[in-house]
Amino acid sequence: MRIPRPKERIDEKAKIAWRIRGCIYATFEFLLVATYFIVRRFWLDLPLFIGFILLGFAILLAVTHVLIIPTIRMIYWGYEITEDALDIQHGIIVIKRSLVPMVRIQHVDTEHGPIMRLFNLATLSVSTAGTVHKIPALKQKTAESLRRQIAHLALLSEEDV
Amino acid sequence: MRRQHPIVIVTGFFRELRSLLLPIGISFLVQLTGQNGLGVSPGYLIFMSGVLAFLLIFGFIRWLFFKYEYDNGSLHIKKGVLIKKDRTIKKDRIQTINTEAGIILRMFSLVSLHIETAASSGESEFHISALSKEEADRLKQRLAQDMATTDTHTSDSDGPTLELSFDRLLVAGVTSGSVGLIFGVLGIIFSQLLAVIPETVMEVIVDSIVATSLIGIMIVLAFLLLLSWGLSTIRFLIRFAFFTVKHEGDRLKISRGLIVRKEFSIQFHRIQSIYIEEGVLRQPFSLASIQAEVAGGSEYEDAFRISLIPIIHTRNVQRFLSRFIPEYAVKHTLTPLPKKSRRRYLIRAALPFVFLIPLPFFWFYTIAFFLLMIPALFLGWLRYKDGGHYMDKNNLMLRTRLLARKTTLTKKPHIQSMLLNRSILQRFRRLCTLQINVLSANQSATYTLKDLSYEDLFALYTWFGPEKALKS
Repeated sequence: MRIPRPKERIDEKAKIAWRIRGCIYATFEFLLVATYFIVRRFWLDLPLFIGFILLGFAILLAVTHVLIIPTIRMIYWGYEITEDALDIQHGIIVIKRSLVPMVRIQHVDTEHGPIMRLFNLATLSVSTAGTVHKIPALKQKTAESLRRQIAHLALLSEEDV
Repeated sequence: MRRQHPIVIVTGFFRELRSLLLPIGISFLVQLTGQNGLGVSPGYLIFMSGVLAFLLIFGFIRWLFFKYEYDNGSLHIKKGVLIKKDRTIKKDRIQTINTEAGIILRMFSLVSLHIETAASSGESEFHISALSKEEADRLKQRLAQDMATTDTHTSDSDGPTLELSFDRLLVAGVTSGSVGLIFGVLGIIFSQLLAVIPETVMEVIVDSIVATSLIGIMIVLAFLLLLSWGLSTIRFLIRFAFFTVKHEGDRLKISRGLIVRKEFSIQFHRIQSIYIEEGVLRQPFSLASIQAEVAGGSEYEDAFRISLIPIIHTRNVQRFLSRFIPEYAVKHTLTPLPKKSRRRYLIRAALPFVFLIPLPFFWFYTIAFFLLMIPALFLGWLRYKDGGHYMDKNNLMLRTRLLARKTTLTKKPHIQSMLLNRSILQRFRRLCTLQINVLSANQSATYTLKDLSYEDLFALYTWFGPEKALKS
């Protein structure tokens, strides 16, 4: 008994956008480590081996953020919009499957951050009366049409009740 | 335009005072134990009376500027000294009207009126702090005539009614389990008192504690525990005295309280979920309480969980539900958790204590290990045994346990979204975690049941998920 994964995939370019974001995180991590070495060099007599442990950590984090996480995230991301519900799957360690009935949807927004905008991508966020569900990295056109489609479906199913 | 009864100046004063109690108390203690030895400086007294006078004057001005009026099917409220607020509420937008009367208000046979509208944001609340009972009733009646969902039986008084007797309440209070809360409060008070006790007395106390050692401390703790138990019972009795629940047309009317008499009126369609809670102290005696999660903004003291009944014998639960909220009287048989999830429940419960691995030479750790690990494992096993769910066309029921056993029942249209999560380890064992979000107040309440089988996952998906996806 297996639930089929949602049919639609998000844009492949998302992986690159996530990698860029990972690089930014990694830069901060390396800056922190660098601070440790600078402090050690000029001010305090801190042990060297801790610096290397921190460096090791930073490298490990950089690798996960830049290489591993975007790949895994891409594997699991999927969504599907039908007449009656929204079905989203995502996750890295925990795979989360969110089901949102159309009737419960209160409003739909599209938004785009700086990195995503670089790739002409947008995030669709769907809000119910208590929860928010996001589908990132959709082509701006797709996001826009999905927004209209969901708004339309949500309205329709409201009339049904 | 009318003004409120001037007594609001007094009640408002006390309310402000209560919210300032902590800073005033702390500053008083600081003054008392300041470097001038025991005593309060005149400057401090002048400052304090200044603050009190300001509160009183402010209350007077606020009363002066608060006016309300009812005409043409809408209620106008004008208030504000610096920032003027002018609000109009149409009577067909009004959802509920609740009244409340504190001890001062009751002396003058006054009530305060809370009006809630359909919008759930805090902005739309109306609140008239003091008006005569007759006027409140008149206003209520006029507003109720065209309330959003009018029910002609609203004023009928022949619906089923239940009043809790004092002995039942006493049992409820004793088993209410808010001992921990009061215990904490007592602890804070005592630690504050320690600062005031003169050093010589302190030395005597410390000496006697050291002399009597562990047993002495145990006795003190036991005494504190008993005291907080008594206090929590009294608190419960005060809050829930004269508890009455009544079914009236499209709503439940609940009133309770000794000092502050509260009256709630809950429309059935606003109830999002109900849950039956069997507390640790109550379950052995087959006792439970039933509470409801209600949507819509308001200032109920229990947030949005309203006690439908604070104590009930478990065998009467179904009867109570079918009499008072028949929609939620659902015949059910819970599907238990799969056997393979038992191990995960035990490990999860034991995990916080694994650092206390028994070491042969450290007897203290070994004792602590067995003292904590065995109850933890037992709790984990209970959680596993009690976990379960039930669903039919329209209802979803989850039974979980943190400490108390909680059976939640909600309707499919009230579930805002459903999450089916599987971690790596869960995928390996073919298990999943169910999480549902139900509206409550302004945000959502989340109910979680861990480690369901994939069969359950599939059933839940077909129940709640998109229909199209499965056909194709």
